[in-house]
Amino acid sequence: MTRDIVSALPDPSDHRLLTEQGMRAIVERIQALQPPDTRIDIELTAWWRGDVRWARNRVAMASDRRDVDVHLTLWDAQSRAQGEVRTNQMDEASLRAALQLAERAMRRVSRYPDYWDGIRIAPPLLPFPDTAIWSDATYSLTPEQRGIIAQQLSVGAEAQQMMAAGYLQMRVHETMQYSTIEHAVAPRTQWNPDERHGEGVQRTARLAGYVRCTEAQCSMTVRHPKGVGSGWAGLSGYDWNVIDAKQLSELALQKCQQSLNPVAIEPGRYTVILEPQAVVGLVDDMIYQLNKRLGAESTHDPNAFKLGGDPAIGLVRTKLGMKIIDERLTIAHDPMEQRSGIMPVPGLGKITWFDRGVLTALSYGRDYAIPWLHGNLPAQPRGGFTISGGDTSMDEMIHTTKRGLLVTRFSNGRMVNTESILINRITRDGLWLIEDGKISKAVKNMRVTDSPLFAFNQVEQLGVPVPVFHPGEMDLPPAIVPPMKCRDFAFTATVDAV
Amino acid sequence: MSINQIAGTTRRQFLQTGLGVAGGFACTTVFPRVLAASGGIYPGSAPGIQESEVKTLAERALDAARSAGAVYADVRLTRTRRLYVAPGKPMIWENLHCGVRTLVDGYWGFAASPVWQAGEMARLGKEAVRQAKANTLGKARDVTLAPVHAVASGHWDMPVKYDTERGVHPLEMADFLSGLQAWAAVEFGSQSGFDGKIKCFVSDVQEKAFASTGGSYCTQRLHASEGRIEFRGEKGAGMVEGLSVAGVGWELFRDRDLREAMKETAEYNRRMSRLPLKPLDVGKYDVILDAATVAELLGKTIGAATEIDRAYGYEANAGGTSYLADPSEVLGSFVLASPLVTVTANRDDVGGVATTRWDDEGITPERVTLVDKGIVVDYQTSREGAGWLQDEYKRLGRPLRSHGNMFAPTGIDVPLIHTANLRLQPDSDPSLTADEMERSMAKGILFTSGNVDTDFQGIGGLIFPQVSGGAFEIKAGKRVARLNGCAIQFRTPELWKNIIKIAGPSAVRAFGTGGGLNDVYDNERNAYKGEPRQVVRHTATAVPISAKEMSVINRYAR
Repeated sequence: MTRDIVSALPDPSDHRLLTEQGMRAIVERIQALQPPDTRIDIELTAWWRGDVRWARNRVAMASDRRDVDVHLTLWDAQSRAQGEVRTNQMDEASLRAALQLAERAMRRVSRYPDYWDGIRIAPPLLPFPDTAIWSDATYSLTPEQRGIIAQQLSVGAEAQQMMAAGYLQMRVHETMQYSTIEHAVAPRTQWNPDERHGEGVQRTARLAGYVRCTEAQCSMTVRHPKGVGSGWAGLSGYDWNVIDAKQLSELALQKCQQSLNPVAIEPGRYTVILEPQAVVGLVDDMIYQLNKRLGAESTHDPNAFKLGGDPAIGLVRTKLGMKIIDERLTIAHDPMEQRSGIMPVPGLGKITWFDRGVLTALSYGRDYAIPWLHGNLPAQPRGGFTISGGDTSMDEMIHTTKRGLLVTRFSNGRMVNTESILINRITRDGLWLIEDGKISKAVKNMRVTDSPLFAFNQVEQLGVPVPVFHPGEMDLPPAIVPPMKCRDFAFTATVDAV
Repeated sequence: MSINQIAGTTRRQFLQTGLGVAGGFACTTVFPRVLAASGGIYPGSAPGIQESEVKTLAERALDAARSAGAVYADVRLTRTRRLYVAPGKPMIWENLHCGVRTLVDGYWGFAASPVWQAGEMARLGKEAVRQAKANTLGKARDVTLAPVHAVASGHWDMPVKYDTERGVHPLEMADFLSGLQAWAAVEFGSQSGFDGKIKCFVSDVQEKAFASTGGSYCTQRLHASEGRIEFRGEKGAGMVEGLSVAGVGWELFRDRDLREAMKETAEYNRRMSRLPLKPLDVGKYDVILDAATVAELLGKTIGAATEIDRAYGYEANAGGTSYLADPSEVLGSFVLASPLVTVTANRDDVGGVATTRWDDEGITPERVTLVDKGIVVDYQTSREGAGWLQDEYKRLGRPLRSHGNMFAPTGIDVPLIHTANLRLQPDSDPSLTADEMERSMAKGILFTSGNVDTDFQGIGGLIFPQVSGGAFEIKAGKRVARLNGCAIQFRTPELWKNIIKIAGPSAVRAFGTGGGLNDVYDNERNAYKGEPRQVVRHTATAVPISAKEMSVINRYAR
């Protein structure tokens, strides 16, 4: 599973990527312009994206876009004051101007030590995990091919007088991180056991690393022209080859046809069968909280995984080591999971959030982890998770349900209570009533007020985990989750939206 | 002396070098730029958007698109400078973008990059046509673009008092915030007990050039600023209101007595916290919504729903469609609200964050009445979107033209229809102040700083107080208790029809809404449009309203 950069190098003439070589050249030019007595942190990113969007069974827009970002942070070697600047221009004059601006801000701040507002710790110079999340199929799908695919995906819906809308996107992202910043205040750390409090040790600058990845996503909604039914299907992942778009379009159409003319039922507690897409919608906000940096300074922020501040020792007590969800569930961030295609973070391997129901990890900021935890837990993944499952098939889940609801997915999530992760959500694109082991009718969408922490303590059956639609642009990149049956899921109101 | 002269060459020389070198993304051929100016270090060195080179670049892109076969093309060049100021620390983020949009046989194509350079313009023009053509092989797609009545030409500066790029130094703003934070620590906190988050001031300046094959060429300089001041100490806590995003500059902070505002906020919160906390009896109540809540409500239930592309199904796979779905059954006949309600949309309000002289199709936006005495009479449109309504407009005897709602956050984004500044017409009675509405209520609930959470068609949802607001029980015109966890569960038409009173002109307030600093969570999850997502803000000008018999529920009940 080593990355073969040479063979996978894209055609350099189309300039869709800066490439490792190009990025290195920019870093070197910035280094040459860097003011003396400063340390620098550089994060270069570049992306390309080719997409096509359709609605009412016709392509509405096709695009090709690319952008870069040069993010510079200068640090005064003595005072640790900081100046920061970002730009997407990489010519000599722009870089020089950017550095001057950052230096100006830094020097100004350094005269007022009070402005320096906390312990600033450098990112450790650790390599990116060696994951191969590059797909030539994703990178080389041409606009013409995308156009043909998009047209084909609405043929079925149009033949049935339905209206399809959807989105197909191929994306490439590359990043280089470089840093000469010392750990500003650091008692013994694992990567620098000899460093003493507050004293920097001169270290040789080196490139922290380069990584690039691809992402493909395809999703579509098929609606009845009168708006009396709607079905959705989608999948994302780094490799376009594993996304069967045709199958997705058939699924969306099928869901639309099965959801026509839904009837309203009484809100209340129901046994639910959550399709994997609904499970992701349920668990997202919990992962988001796990991912949120915890630290001694944030005792005020409510969090489901904290027990509260302990003023005696000035630390926050957490629920680490406690079993707080069903023991069949293990939730992990695993950049090595090939099917999810998680964009790696330097130095970060697998993190198991929950091990058989026991909370085993929390994400800490380095500001907190280095002084307090001796650098053992600089865990700040950018997201992406896998949830363990079981072997119950969807059919069996339905068969064994006397009365319950089948949920396709959720939309419009909004946090109600952070401490219990109670969230409002609305079901969308397919909700069915199950009676006596069979799907009996389509049901009007409902508002759900529930928490993954409650649901994950009421699990009845688990299916086989599969990759789901979870594009990585926002805070939570790919996920692999199982379908799930839970009892006593709280539906609190009917919703008119279809 | 400009930054480029320091670098040993002038900007113009750089441009010429750039023009001579072919190719796109290579790091040596990029237009040299202007960060120095945005730092305020060398005022005036920024090459203005009005310079003729910018027009040359735009024309180059249009020529390339035309000769590749586009029947229509437009181009946007944007320079976006975002300034982010935390106490003592300014951060600047500056980007250049260029995006070309083309139309070939009814299909749209788009290409964009960060490179302002002649060769790149030609590539983008050609690429955008290739993107469009890739879809023309299948079935036909009809596009009627509403005619342009006045060809856009000239330059427009959004009027602000202190331009955050030219008028005030970022370090001055950083110092200002530091001073405020230091003062607040003394005023509200003891040695250990102050958690002052004078969080930040964020200000965007965008210079934008637009050109189309229809002959338009116009340039604009736009501003958007917002801030967040949140503090928590032993002697007071709160979040200062009135710093939501607006089309202004540094005057958002500079011209306000923020110390006084913080003191007032703390005092108000102290007063409110003395009210007893009561559990809610779920049921039907008469309610008053303050102006901030109504502003949210306008955007979520009327702004989004009247965007014609949502109503037409274009957002079905993203943010959702609209309950105002079939224009032929809606326009002029759909009774949405009580006859008291008239809502207009505009893009010329002074200080409005959606204010502009030309939209992203070169159209001069109109003032449009969306809801006239309770009846939905129009949608927010683009040139193509107005084309979808041509039969309806003919039936109603109205001219076919775009209302000017096209907007792209930067040149790299595809332009979409976005909500204009909205305005709820106040009652004509000047004695109907916010206080008077409260005083005249015999029994009911008052919601302040409410958040509105709608479903994906805007047809219903919940209203509940944000952290900075509250829900108060009112008896005989007085606030008698705080109610915990309550929310109004509404269906949009019922809510607007149940309105019994709208406050008068003295209660008018403007709020920037549609996502932003104060609603980061919302940004990412709810208020969005497009694939990939675009979050675009607008200003809503509103007054308090009271409505009868609203269903009030406990938000926390499972």
